[in-house]
Amino acid sequence: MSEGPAQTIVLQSNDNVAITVERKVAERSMLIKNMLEDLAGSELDSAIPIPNVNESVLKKVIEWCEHHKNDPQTAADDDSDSRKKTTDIEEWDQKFMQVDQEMLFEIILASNYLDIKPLLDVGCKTVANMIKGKSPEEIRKTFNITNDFTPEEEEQIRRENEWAEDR
Amino acid sequence: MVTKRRRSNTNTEDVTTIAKRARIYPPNDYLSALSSELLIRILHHLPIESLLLCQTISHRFYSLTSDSQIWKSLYYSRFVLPRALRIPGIKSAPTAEYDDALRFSSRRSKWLDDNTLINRKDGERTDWKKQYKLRHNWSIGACEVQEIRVRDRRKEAGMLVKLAEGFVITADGEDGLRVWNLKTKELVTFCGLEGHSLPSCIAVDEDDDHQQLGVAIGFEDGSWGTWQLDIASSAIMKRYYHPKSSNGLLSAIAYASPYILTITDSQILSLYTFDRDTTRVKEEPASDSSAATSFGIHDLSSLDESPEVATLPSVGVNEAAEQGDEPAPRLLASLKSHTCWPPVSLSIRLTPSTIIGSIAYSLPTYFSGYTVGLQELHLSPSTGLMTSSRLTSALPQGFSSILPTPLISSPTSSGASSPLPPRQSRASVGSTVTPSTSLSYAHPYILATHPDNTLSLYLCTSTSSDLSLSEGTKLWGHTSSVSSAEITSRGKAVSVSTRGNELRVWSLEGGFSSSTRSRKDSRLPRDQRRDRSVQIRQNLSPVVKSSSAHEFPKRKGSQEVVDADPSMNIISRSGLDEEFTARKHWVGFDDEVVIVLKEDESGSQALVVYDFT
Repeated sequence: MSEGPAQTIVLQSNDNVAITVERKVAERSMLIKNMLEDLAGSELDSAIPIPNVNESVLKKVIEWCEHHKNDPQTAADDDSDSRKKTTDIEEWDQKFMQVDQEMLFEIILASNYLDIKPLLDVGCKTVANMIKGKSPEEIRKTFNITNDFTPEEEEQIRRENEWAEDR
Repeated sequence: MVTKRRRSNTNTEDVTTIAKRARIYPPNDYLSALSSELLIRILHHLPIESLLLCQTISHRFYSLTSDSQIWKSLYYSRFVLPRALRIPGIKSAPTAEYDDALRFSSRRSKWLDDNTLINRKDGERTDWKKQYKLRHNWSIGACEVQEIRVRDRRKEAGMLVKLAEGFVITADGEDGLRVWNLKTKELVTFCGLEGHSLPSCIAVDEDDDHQQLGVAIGFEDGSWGTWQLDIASSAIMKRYYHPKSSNGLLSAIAYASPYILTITDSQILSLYTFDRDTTRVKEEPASDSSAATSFGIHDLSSLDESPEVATLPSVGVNEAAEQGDEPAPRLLASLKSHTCWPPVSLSIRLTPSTIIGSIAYSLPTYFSGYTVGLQELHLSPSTGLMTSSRLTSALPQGFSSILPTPLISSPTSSGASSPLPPRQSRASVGSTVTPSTSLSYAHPYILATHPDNTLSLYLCTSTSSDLSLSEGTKLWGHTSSVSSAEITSRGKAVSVSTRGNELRVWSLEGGFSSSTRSRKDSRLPRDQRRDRSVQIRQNLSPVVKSSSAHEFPKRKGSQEVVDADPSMNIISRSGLDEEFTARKHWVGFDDEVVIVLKEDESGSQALVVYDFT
């Protein structure tokens, strides 16, 4: 499949911005990779529309793919993901994820849609790190979640979970 | 009214409404707006404490954090993976495969014995959160304690107890055979044992489809019988009664349908089968002679069968009609041992090609006390003939070591809490000078309990060509004489002290490689050994705290319960007072509970149920 190093393709965001990327970078997305493989042989002359992702998010995602383009490809096995218990994120990714919440969740949605597992994992870990060590009330505040429990219900759940407290 | 309610119910439960509801989240609540799938993906990265805190965020999070898949992976990484790492076979596998095996993946990970939870026969889905909680409680020894009163007056005969399929089966001379339900703590059914002598041993056979339980009871006069409990109808039925013999008290019995293995006080071992299909074998002499010849190992000698024993099967046929509805069994083999010192533990393992009857027993060794011996009888299932008999024994602990070795030079590893008298601690360095108080054998483990506050664990290796026992590993932790222990083939064991407030849960699997290695590394194994057992915390505040939905009515203090009828009373543990006067006799457990038979000073007996769920 490697015909030339400089092979590029064009992606089109949902706000109609065309972005040219190196094919290798775009292929971090399993969605795009599979699509290109399906189209193998036929000449790709038009831009690939990415209907769910807007320009700023798509650029951000491409920035990540650019940086990680030489990472070893993980197996295409859907379920054997590296859901390790660690929430360690490498430094570059941590910096990359220092964005506002709207962008963070947009990246998660985009990487899910584009099927970029490692990026999705980084996003999920980032959110998990925001949850970790916080009280429920702090978590609600952080994410603007409405509490739909009555105090009694809350107390009931707390009691249910007491078994795990001392370990 | 009714229709209205139904509609509102379906609305809240329906998955589509969750998606719909996503729209009504505040516009800046990006997290809740994510799909459930993505949220679960995030929650997968959380440690258990955070996960449980998340339950109280909102209804949506409550249902998501209870997701069985999350708990499955938590369960895996906490309870399965560490075991996998301890098993040498997996560890030494090629690296790629190794990584593969150890990374969690719901489809490919090695779940070891927990496979039964993954591929459940009954088609139900495992509640992983519940499983996690159960295992967690086991690991820290947290449980709810309740008592089942089984007897109020002092009686002469001891009581025999077994636990199987959520039932407790007790047998004693006066009250007969009784079956109690563990969940409801109620008497399910009973069956008198009038006309028999006092029961001396009991065995339970669980069949594969969980429909019935077979119960075999041996009596002091050498007779034995089998009963069958139908689980669905909870009806108990006598199947067969084998008349007494002159060989005396039966000290142990094992039952794996259709086979029965018994051993008398005078160490005459008999193997019977109820299987009538193997008509090719005519009668007993053939198997008897083969038994005699293959038993020519110097430790054990075969004995010409006494006339009574030899004629028993035919007598049995005559009496079977009145005694039960099952035809009399055939005697497959009968052997006499001169070295099987009590306690003995019998077991029958059925493999497609062989029936293996095993006797684990105490073995006196000159100079150094007692060790454990194991004999296996192999029989062919098609012919019923004995094909081979093998014998092995463990080297006494400290056998070859005049030099102090790291393993045995640390009898005080349990710390200041177990002040052993100096003389006794010296003895435990050498080996066990007193016979064990009990033996539990579940292939491949043999666990012996000793009056000197310790347990010994032996690992049995049985292949088609070889049978051997590892050197015993001492387990410290108890602070008084250990009276009973039970071990499963997965290496989980529970032990109980005669006196005092002590019940310990042991996780012994995989400890072997490290403990044999321990001769080189003196520090590591001691730590591991300490980690291996957990004392069950009895007077735990959670007992009071868990006043949630599933709570049994409790009454306080045993003295308040005055009643003579044999129905069960549930008594909450009132405190420490009785702990030091009560004697604990027997211990048994299954996945969810531990049961201890205890007797207080007045002679009344109770089953103490330690519930880990």
